[in-house]
Amino acid sequence: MSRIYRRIALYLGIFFFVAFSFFPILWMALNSLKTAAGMLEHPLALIPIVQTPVTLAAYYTVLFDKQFIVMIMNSFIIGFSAAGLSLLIGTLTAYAMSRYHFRWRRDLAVWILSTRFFPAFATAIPLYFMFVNLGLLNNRFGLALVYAGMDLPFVVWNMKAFFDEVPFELDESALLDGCTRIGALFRVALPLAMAGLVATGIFCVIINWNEFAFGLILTSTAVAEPVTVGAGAMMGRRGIEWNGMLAGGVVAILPVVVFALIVQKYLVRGLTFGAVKGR
Amino acid sequence: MGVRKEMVMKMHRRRPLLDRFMVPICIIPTVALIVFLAAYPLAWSVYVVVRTWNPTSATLAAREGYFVGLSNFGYIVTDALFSKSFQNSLYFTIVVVAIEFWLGMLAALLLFEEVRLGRIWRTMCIMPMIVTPVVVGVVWRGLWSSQFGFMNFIATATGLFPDVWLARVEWAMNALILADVWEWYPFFFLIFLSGLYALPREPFEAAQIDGASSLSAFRYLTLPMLAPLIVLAIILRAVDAFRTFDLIYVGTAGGPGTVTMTLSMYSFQYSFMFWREGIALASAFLMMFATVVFTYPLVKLLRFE
Repeated sequence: MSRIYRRIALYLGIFFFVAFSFFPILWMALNSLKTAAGMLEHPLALIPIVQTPVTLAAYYTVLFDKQFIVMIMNSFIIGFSAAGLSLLIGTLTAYAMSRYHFRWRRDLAVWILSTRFFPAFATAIPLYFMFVNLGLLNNRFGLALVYAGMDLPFVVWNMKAFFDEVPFELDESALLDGCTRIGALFRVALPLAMAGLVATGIFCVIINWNEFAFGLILTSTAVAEPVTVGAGAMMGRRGIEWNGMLAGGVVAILPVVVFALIVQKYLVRGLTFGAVKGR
Repeated sequence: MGVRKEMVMKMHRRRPLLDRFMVPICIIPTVALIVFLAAYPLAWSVYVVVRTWNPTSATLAAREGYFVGLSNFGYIVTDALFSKSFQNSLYFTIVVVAIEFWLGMLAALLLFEEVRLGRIWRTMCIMPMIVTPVVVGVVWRGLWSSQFGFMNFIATATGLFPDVWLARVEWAMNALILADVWEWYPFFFLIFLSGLYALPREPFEAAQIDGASSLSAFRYLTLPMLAPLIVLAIILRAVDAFRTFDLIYVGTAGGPGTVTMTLSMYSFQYSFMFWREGIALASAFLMMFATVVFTYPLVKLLRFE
């Protein structure tokens, strides 16, 4: 008998957590399908079709009138090019850290990691004035550069952990067979760490997509603004329809949710800089 | 293996130029980018933080200002708004980490059990952490809206708790804490869940045979064995909670009045609204100092052999 009660308590507990986590997202998605008037008239109609008409008008408004479609493109371009640049240079560093025991190796790793813990404004303020002088303000390339730097600690630490799992003997035999060191990296170690490379890259895209503070300070119009800044700025402007706000929210999170589902297996690893292997 | 590795690497000393400089080639681009994006800006900040630097002035000389020593730090330590912001940041960090820790632990213990569709429930619980922080602010503002907010509707219909939290002086901070707890308890959940899977089964079986309750098994087996992971997770989360910006900027922007001002908001207002960079940077430096002291143990916990 007590086993049954235990089981019931277990399911109730799980139900609480699932409902708590998922309800706000569901609420946003369902309300984005109402009209502005429908939201006010039926605040509790969770399935819109019951009391208010379902419409995609809010999506049309944010995507085209509020230029979200442009900002989503910006987010994609910035997110992927930053992740790409960061993978390119970070993977090299991670490989060197995994394979060569050079001096200051540990200090360098800690130094790279420490940038992750800076308060954003300690570097955002100087970067703003540097970018004014360099003409990189409100420029996708400029923001991508900043995001690439932001991704580096993740790339270096995670890729080092992935390279550590590739046996050194394999590099060794490649070197003995006459491969150059760069060749050993690209022909042996990297293909074997490919799953890790892809996961790290997608993880970086997620981080870049969700970033806000630097985007807010370094961009100002839809020419370069990522979608987070667009959504945040829309909040501040008067006269914004709430159903549009929520539609914007759905649109802004859709890509990251998909990315996160792809790399779910590696999330723990990514979040802990490779310290926890996960399942 | 170490000796053999050295031998192979030595053999390659007489290899092509590219090979001989492999380590510098691999490291210089990363170092260059970090110098450009972090080290140089920080050096610039050190220069500005001791000056009356005002970018809105018309002439270059006025912009550069003059040397004032540590008086920007003097300004913030005597500024009531700064100490308010500092207290708020500290309070926010301690409260959210404590709640998120226990919720995450509880969720991990529950979903560690074999249940039907377990994978789907786990994924659904992780979702809030994936949602863009700005959107988290938007959603929770909507949920507390006096016109159509769900939380607000429950509050006024049942009278169980007050309504319009975000606009109330005594409740705005709790509204932010609730939103942050919602967003980040999955962080602890996810890390603890994978920690639980990695634990050995034998001690628990032995405890069960000896008749230990599940509570004491948790207290004397699970907690001690997860300890390193717990410290790691708490430090990582606390650092991020301490510098939370997006959620507060969108959720309350420090208001109503100054009741939800935090150090990040303080730095933001002084730098990009009042254009007093010296003061904003002094605040950011104090924040950084607090973070460095706090993260020092982290370096030992992260694997790096």
